[in-house]
Amino acid sequence: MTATTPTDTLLAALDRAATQSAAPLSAGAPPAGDLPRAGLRFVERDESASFLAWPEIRRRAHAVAAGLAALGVAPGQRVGLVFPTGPEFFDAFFGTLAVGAVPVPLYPPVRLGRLGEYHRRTAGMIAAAGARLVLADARVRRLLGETVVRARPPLGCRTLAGVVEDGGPGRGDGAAPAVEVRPDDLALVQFSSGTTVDPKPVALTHRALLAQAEALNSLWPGLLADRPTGVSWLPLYHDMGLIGCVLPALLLPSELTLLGPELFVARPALWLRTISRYRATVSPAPNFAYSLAVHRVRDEELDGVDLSCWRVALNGAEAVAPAVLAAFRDRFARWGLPREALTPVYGLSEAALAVTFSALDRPFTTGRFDREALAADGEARPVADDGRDAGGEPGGVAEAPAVELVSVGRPLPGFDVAVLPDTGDREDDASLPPSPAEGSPLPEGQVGRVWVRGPSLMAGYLGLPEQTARTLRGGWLDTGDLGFCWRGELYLTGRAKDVLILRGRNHAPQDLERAAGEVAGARRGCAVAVSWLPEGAEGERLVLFVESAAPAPPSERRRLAAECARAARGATGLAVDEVVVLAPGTLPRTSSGKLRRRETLARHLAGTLLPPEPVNALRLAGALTRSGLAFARHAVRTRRRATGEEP
Amino acid sequence: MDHLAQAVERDEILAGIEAVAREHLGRVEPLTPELRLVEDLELDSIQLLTLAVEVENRFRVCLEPEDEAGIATVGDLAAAVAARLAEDQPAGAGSTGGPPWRRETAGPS
Repeated sequence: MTATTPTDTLLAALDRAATQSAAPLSAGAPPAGDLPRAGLRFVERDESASFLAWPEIRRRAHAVAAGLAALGVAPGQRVGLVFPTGPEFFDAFFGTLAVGAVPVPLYPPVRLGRLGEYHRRTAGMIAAAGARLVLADARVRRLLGETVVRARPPLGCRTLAGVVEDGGPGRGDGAAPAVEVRPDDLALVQFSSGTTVDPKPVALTHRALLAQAEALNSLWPGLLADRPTGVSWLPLYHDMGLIGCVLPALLLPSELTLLGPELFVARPALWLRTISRYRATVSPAPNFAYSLAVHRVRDEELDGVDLSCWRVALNGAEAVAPAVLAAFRDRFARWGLPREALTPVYGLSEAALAVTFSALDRPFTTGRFDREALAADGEARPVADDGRDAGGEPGGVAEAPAVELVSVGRPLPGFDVAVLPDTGDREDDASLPPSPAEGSPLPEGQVGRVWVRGPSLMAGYLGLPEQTARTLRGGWLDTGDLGFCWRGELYLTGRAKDVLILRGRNHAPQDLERAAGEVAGARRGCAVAVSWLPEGAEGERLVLFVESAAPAPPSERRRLAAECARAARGATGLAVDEVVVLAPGTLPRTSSGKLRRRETLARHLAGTLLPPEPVNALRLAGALTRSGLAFARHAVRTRRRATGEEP
Repeated sequence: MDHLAQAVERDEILAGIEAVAREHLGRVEPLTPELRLVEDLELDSIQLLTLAVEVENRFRVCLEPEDEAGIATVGDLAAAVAARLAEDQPAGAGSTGGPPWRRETAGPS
């Protein structure tokens, strides 16, 4: 390990990485000194790879920066980036930073997906970020016409070749424009929820990003003899991919191997083969990826694969299912996956990325808690055998008195977590839940709203002072997640915020709701989408509640359910697990008539969403509804109040 | 290429897409050109992506974003593949030796 010298901006970090890594080998030249080989490797679909050392990455970025400066991109301005995983993403990313501007990574079009929805969302994000220019891959750019027309970035949408050309002869000589960048300047805008309805651009400073990368890097020395070697297929417009993988590799500097998300999704074995081939020690992914690998990787695809190098398999970005952890650990033990590798973590884009980590050197921990106490009283009462290594035990849990929850560990160095009473309700817009600056944290074992504090919190939502003020209070961030602390570790039980978290990505419910609400026979504007992790399930369950325009017989409700699922899938690409068709007026609302999503789910889980008789369009119904603990708790209270058991 | 040859090729492509759907999406039903990917086959975004990547692997073509923008049905997908194949023919791209992803490459370069 080299000693860490203070590096206060990403640009300084790039400069340092470039001087502390071996230069790319030129023909015949011996490797210079004993500098480490550090940089980014890009794996193609045929598993061939190319490698860019940090000095090369910096040189290329400076050429782009010169072009951007000539175009008139000024420090502080935002630049949208739409690139697949590849060297060009980094040319654009570091090039934008090198001119003092702020990169805003956006996702490329979904393959074979509906472009209408894509244009609408992307235009919304470009506008919300106030991007002055959009840089795009040449192939993607030809498709972005409509997005650009809608969003009208003043400098349009350009390819890197176009930008470098605009730099003029003699400008692409590797000389970076002289700009002064300070640690508290913005360094990145990322989206917490990718929709037009509510695009929330999360603004992060150089200081915050470096603090996050440093916190992550501080974890390895006790575990790894050498600097970590990473593999990631995560999208670069996702915090776990960019902030979690690239920035720590930049800061050390170390070596990171990247493959495109589409390669992983189509052929999950490539992820494991790549880890094995490059002897990666660290590779993160969301829960769904571990599940996909368990189900889709075939033994014969792993000939010669050795996963014993994989010391840290981070699992975050969405709810972590104990069944998936156990299944993955057991399935790949044959290929040498260490038992301690799987590491559940927790974070959110508003905190740059990670907030808590479970211990790296021991198997993941689960706790077993009394189901009734958790659901009814919000109290985590451990049931015998607590705190042991998880058995997973998928299936057969529905009737057990205990519910198994995964620990997401302790706060990273420099971070604090506090659980406060979840009073007040954003759905009502009237009252705010108390922050740790205003109220006292709940004792261990009490479920409440999770607040975090630390050096990598966002500066705010760009251009949204009111939302920022509601979320960042007294130096604390309201995560909108529900959970409790036990033995100093955090356990999550549900969400208070209206967001769907599927396959590691956040979605706003409004897109699905709008699509369903437009189906003939549905009551316009009366649909609610929610997702949660049911007990024993491998991932979050997405359920759509739709009111019919008029009381409908079962056959009509079945038709409506199928149509709504189709419409929702067409609009968002998301597969709805269940559509529940309700009689007009069944969905709970606020006094001002707004639909209450959380309340809808709570009542659904408690069986008090009347009239009952949900039409189950797709499959799986009752058995899974015993979960969503925090939601159920709320519903039980509601029911008790209704029956006079509780004031 | 005459009409007959085109028809034969179209059938082969359709059979290839069907094989991809069977192998990678677990779809056993026969695919006909008029079936819509989202509405009829009910593919979600991950399945669409898998279909696109594996069809490319199988036929060794690269679909461009603007090809994909116009694809709504199985027939559209087959036509896009046919167009790319026709483009690649003059370059003499053979199709032996198995899918490219099976090719092993050396370790760290």
